Amino acid sequence: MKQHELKAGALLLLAFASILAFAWIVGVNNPLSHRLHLYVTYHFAGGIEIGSPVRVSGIKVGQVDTIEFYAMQKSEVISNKEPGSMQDDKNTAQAPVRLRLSIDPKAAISIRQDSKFYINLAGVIGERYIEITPGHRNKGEIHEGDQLIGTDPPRIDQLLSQSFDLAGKIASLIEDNKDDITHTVELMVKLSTNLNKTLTWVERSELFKSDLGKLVTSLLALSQDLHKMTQKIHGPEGERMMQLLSKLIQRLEPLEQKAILDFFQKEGIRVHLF
Amino acid sequence: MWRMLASILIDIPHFLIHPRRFRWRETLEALSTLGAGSFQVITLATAFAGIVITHEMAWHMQKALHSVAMVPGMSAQFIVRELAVAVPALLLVSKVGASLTAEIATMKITDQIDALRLLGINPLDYLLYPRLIACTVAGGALTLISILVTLLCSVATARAYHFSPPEYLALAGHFMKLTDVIQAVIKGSTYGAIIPIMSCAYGFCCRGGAEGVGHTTTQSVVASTLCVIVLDFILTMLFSLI
Amino acid sequence: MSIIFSGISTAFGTKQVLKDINFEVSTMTFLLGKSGAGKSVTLKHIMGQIPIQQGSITLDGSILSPQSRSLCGMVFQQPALFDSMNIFDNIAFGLKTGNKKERVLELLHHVDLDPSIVTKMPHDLSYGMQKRVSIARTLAPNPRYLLFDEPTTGLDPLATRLISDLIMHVANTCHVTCLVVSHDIGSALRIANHILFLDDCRIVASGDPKTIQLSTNPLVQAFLGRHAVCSDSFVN
Repeated sequence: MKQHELKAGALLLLAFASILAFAWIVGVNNPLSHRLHLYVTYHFAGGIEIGSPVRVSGIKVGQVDTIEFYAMQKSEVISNKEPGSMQDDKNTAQAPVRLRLSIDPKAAISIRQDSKFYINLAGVIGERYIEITPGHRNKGEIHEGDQLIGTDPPRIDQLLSQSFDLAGKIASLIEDNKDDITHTVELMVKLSTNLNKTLTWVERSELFKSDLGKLVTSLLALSQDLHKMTQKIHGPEGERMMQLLSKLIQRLEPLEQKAILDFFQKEGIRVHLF
Repeated sequence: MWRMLASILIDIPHFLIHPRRFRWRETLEALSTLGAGSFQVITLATAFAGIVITHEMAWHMQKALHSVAMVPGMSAQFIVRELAVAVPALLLVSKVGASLTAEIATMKITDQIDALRLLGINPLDYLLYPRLIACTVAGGALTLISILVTLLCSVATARAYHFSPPEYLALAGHFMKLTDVIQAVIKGSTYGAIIPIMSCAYGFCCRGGAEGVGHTTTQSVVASTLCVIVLDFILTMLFSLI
Repeated sequence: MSIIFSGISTAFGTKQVLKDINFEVSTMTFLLGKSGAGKSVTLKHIMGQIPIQQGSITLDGSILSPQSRSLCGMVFQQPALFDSMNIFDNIAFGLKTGNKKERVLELLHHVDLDPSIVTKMPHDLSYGMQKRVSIARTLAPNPRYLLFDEPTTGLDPLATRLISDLIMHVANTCHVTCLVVSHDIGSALRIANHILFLDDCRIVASGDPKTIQLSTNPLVQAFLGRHAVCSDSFVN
């Protein structure tokens, strides 16, 4: 009888040890240890499940306890729009999702009132988790049962549907102006053919080649002359000329308009002065 | 046989509300002989099953996905949800079911069951319920143990595919949930409970001599195996709805 | 203090097994008949293994009930010992209260067995010893009626005599009323004080051994003749 008791006891003990081992593998938290609980609201909590990990600065510190549809009061309407969130007037009317996170109190020190709660994707298997960014030191600490606003993840489905709309519009535009577009394309084809022909003719024509050569040579000489002239203007000779000119203008300035007009009339030149 | 099975099933609720019918000593003895006695064979069989399934998974993933990254997750989930539940159940059927049926059938043909009845003892109280409780408990316990053993063997096998044990367990942890383990225990206990019920239903109806005992044992083991497989299907369907 | 069968009729489907059986069990009653004559069915009626279809059985003046049935003990043709238990546990199994050890030793004494066998397992004993243990086990809950189902079938003449003597001894020392179902006319003639012959669903002869020996019924004559040959050869 004693032997039976021992064997039966050993079997049950081993089974109990296995339960503990599974709990450890699965990552169940010790129900006796103290945890800090936070409520985070989202409009869209894509892919988060009960038991999804919660990380602070990339380190796992807790998990999602519960997910509930939280009937939001009018006064509680989330006003501060987070970057990347998909909030709009239509969405605020819906009941947002409220997640209860249980977090190791040691990690809670770095979480502040301005911490952001992102929903991220990790690993080969695409596991979802909540990443909490540490907040500023001068902001208030979080406390048990605090309600915070989460940053909604970009909605791949909405993005997709929007790009679908765009693609649809483009398609209908093309469909509606099919004739015009065809015409334009035909013209462009013709134009390019003509251009091509012209270019080939230019290439083949010896005459054009020689004329073009001459033209280029005279253009080059012209630009060189111009270059020299500007250089002269910038040089000391030019400067002196500019000074002489300004002196001349200064001398001319005190003269009366009338006298100038008379002078020019005598010379037989008609001048219109402003 | 069906009438016997029906009368057993009708009597079970009566037993549950009359704790005086519970026989502690026989239950403990049955737990030791049937449960702990099956420990070695189940551990050995499921250990090999774990090795085989991990290699198989890796081979298939390499063929289909050209990557073995999912091996820990997939094999752990398969082990918890099906492999380490069905294999011990079928082994228990063949080991415990056969021995129980043969014992009860022999008792029947040698008038021992009538003798029990005439001594004022309900044969079900003495033969069925201690074993029913023992097999239900042992079914759950052995399922837990075999899951652990199979997982450990899978961890060891996965080393061949460059998964360190902590890495394996972390990846497996993403796929395994505690509810999976609880469901596995419920399944294991249910299959454990089927064995004594079927053994008693067949054993109590045994006729003839040694040949009758052999025939009854075969029938009982076949029926219990089918029951386990069909119930496995039903329970898996039920759990998938939850 | 007796069991009375009144108007018992039993049929299995269309096959009639017992038809209007009336008799009273006195101190040592033997029920004889061919195989399949319905002898065992009468025992099974008492033990409740086959429900009574017609008529009634009264035990100590009241209709047989599960409570009154506990006053009866039955010894099977086979020893039917629980082979997972030792001899002590087998005998003590039917005991609910009291000093089990003392009672077991007393019972072993009644059936003339050595107290040293209590630790042995049933398969360690000879068939005759197993049979004795089986009687001791049946006697354990202090029954007032002992029913024997073919206790001497398959035994050699010496063992047959030993067992029938034992039945006699037990009946006297434990003050129990015995109903023995048997083929063995020799034992019946020797120890019974009432013999019944069952044939073709009915009782064809009844009375004390002397009356039976004088019966003109062909079946009784056939039984007696065979016994005469047997006893002659045995004596010779």
